[in-house]
Amino acid sequence: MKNNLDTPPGLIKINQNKIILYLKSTWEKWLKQVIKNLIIIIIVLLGTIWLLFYFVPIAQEMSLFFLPETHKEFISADNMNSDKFKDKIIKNTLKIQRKLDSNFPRSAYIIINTTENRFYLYSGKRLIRKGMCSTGSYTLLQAGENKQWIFKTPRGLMRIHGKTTSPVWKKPDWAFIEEGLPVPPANDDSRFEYGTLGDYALSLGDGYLIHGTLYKRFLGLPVTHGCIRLNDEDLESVYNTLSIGSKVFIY
Amino acid sequence: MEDIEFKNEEIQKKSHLIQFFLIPIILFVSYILFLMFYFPVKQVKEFNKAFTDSTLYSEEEKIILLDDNFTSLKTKESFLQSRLLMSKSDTICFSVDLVDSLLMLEVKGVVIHEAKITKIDMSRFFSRVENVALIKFLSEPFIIENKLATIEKEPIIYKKAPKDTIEAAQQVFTPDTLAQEIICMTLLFNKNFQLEINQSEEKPEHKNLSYSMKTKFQSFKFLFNKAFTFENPTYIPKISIELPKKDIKSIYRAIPYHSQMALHL
Repeated sequence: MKNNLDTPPGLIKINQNKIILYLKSTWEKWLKQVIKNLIIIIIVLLGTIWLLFYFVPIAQEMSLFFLPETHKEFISADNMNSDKFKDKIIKNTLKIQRKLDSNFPRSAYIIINTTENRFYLYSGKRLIRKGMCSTGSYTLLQAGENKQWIFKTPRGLMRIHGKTTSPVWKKPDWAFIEEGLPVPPANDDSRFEYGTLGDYALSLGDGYLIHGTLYKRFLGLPVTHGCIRLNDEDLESVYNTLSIGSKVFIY
Repeated sequence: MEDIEFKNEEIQKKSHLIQFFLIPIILFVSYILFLMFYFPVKQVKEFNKAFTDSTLYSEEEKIILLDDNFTSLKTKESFLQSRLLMSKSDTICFSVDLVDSLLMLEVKGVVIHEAKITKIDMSRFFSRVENVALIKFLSEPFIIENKLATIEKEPIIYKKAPKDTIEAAQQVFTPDTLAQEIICMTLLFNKNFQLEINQSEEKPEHKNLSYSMKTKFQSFKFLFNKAFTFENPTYIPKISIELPKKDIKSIYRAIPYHSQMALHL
């Protein structure tokens, strides 16, 4: 503001004209050419990317259009032989289908979806119960350089190894480290927690359990240390339906 | 006169310059055209040669198999055969049944998840190859060699051990259930085949640009690596399907890195 007040209006106009003239000469000298070349380079570059990334796959697909279709809807002249051949295929297909069906568990089994945190309890091919569960949180707990634990639920086919009522949780080292507490000796009283696992627990081996929870609001979310948590009613149903050796499919 | 000579020289220089750039461009475009039209056709021939076993069928059976009705029976048999082979493995695998529009996750032959395919887009390649070769192609499981997806396979959350109970209380983590994500994946299989799985829900392209460019670049890299070394097929037949995104997420997180797949066309 001060400068505008001090400088006469004629001088401001002369300065403005100088700037405009300078910009014009720069534009004419080299800026016009540079921008022109830049635009050409960008067009060529984008064109090449489009040609290679998009047009080539489309054109490759189009080129197949020129080949004749192999499906001819042929009507066999010799019906006897074609019928025999058809019977042979159907027989073999049924044989394979029977073999596949034999893989199906005849007793009760449970399917657990760790992505959606849902469970499906089956007896043969009949769905008995379904509902929400909680599975591994995928947390990687790092304690120092060599100590780390990953809290994920194992995937694949597992079996029920054991069943217990009123289970007691023997807290492992990570449970103390995660809470910022000092790790007690192996059989210290503070390691044993009563009631946190619910009324029942079904062991899957390697320390993984299907058990109950106090944190029912987290059902349907991945929050556990690798175990599968169910609510009280679902847990009771699962406990009563599955027996030792029953299949557990986790994915 | 000098002016005219100078102008002529300028024109000559320019024409040399144009020739210098134009010839490589023409050569490059011709090569691209060659890639576009020759390799897919060559691939069909290679496919027929590689998957036609002359000892499998008699001449009469080969003629019968020209009939689509018989071929569909045979492809169903191949699909089941493939699933039976997969059931011998302990790992999670999957089957894509394009006839019934179903994608099934399986462990030891037991279907543990079923998802309805809402849209199928198949390469013309499969209708151009010989039926007998196609049946053989489908009779053994496909093995995943490479995969790309918009989501992480294992969403690991890194956590440092807290020093005390106060720090532990601050670290309590609750998963974000409202996060919106686009879920797509591309699987490249050992038998020169690509399966693209996209979410059936609407997906704005700008949110998906990085994945889209990555997949395009991958195909481009594959095409050019082989083209420069003059190796066999540079064309990958592709099938695109659409599924609800919660299903894609479950499937992607469930299948191992080199999972097997059975296909029913």
